[in-house]
Amino acid sequence: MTKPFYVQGVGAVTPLGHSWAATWAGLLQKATCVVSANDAGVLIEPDVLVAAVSDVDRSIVEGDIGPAARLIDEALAQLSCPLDELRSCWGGSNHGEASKLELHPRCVPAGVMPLLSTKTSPPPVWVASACASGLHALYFAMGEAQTADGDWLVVGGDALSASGIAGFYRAGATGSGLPTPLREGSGGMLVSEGAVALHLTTTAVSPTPAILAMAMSCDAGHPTHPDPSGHYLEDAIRTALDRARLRPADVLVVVAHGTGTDANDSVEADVLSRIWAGHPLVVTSPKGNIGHVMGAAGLVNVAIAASIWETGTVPAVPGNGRGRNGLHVPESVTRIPAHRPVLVVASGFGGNNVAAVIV
Amino acid sequence: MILYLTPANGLTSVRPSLPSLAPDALRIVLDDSDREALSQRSSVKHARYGGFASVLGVLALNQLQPLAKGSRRAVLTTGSATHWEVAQAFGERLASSGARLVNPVMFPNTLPSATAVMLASRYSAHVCALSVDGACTLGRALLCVQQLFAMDDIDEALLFVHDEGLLHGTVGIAFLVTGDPRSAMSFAVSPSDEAERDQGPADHAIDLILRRQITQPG
Repeated sequence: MTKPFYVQGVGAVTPLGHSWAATWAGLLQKATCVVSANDAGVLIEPDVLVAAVSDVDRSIVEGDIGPAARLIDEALAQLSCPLDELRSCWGGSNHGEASKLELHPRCVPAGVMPLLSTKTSPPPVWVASACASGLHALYFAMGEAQTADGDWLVVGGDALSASGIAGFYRAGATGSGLPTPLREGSGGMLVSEGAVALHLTTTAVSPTPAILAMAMSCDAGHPTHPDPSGHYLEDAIRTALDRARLRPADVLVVVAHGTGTDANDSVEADVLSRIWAGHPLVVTSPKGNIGHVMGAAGLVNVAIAASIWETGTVPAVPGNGRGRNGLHVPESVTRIPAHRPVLVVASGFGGNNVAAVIV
Repeated sequence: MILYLTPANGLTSVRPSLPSLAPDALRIVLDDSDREALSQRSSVKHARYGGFASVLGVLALNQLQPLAKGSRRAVLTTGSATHWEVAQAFGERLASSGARLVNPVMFPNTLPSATAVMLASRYSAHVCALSVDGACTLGRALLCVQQLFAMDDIDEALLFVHDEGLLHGTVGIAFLVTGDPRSAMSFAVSPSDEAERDQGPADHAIDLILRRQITQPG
């Protein structure tokens, strides 16, 4: 894939704000948003720290959409793309609302599709690959764009659910405080929620961030843990760079998956330090600020990469511990030259890995 | 672009007197003993904590494994919400006993992609393992596979279609999707011709087979 896929607009709802501008500003201000799940309106025993979007309607009503679909709807409303004249619409989510009461047929993912079907033409295609869902959706949209022109919509989103929180808690993935992704001693992840909607085109008239290349791989091993060797993640990143005709030294910043868990971060840090050995690299992850927004995580990373490309500003990662493997994980906002390639990574349960190069 | 599909039926052993791909063998109302027998036959570890779709997927995949030759493989699944059964049990346990007592083995099986992940580990699919949902789902899934071929990401793919209902019966059909015919059972399809068919994925999968009048492995 070498035909650029331009990011014309970003709609977003995250714990840092109800727009991408608010989210980006929050990231640069090192804002955080840790609350208890019970305080966020998700009842679970024991209570677990999460990140939550403010003012979410968490009601589940017969015949209505659920909270995840509401988040996506809000992100979608921020875009000015022609929803009734799209080349296609792709979406992705983790499972957001999987609690028994939340298994209403109009909740994610089923709930989002009727919603989008009333707003977009053609109707959406929904891709689920856990936390890599959003980037997989982008991948297939970009694949279509290689042989066609027009406007595409890619959305991703998940809402907090008791089942999702409990699952990560019981798996030992959640921490007791603020995550410090990709730093030594990070204590775990922060389950979160949010939605991102991207308007993408195959043409642009002014300097516009674009996805130049993508690649994916699958560990095909453990249902939850990444392959300890990182072989397949490394393959996805190297293939994306090759497709973009870039060398590692051409990329100064990686927006990593960086969940804050030892299982993910140790493998990802090993892979990044292997690929960028001897080359300067800044590695950032938003999951210490906005938490892990599940199916939207990859699209959040794309939005961050687009903003880094535009501004040359790299958000910091909470904490002051050393970066794993000696990686440069910034404690404060860092400047790089604008308009330089940025690499994005997302991974998901089942060993799905997707990498994208933004230029 | 033309793709070749080689079908296999995960329910084959339930009606052993019928040809594997006979119409009456493709959708069957299962009772508990059928499900138990299929689970045991599949040798799926922790089958009772996972979705039944994984059991059917593995049984169908086992029939196709001898035909799998490509080194770059993907798994796509589509059909009914294969994870709901597990998610519901997980949620009930959570509601009754709290987060400390839910089974962590069940958690990844509450995801829509759980069946794809299970099949990817058996099929060594190192490109992707995901589920596809939406309108004209099987047709769209075929278009996704076509894209993976076009982008030179894969040599072959496993496409698994599942449906389950107490009244209308269970379906578990896998297609090995390749760029060349792999057996006498293989048939050609044009994904763009299939993309707009207004059928549920299971009905569409059965229709694909019945249109070719294939009933018995060659």
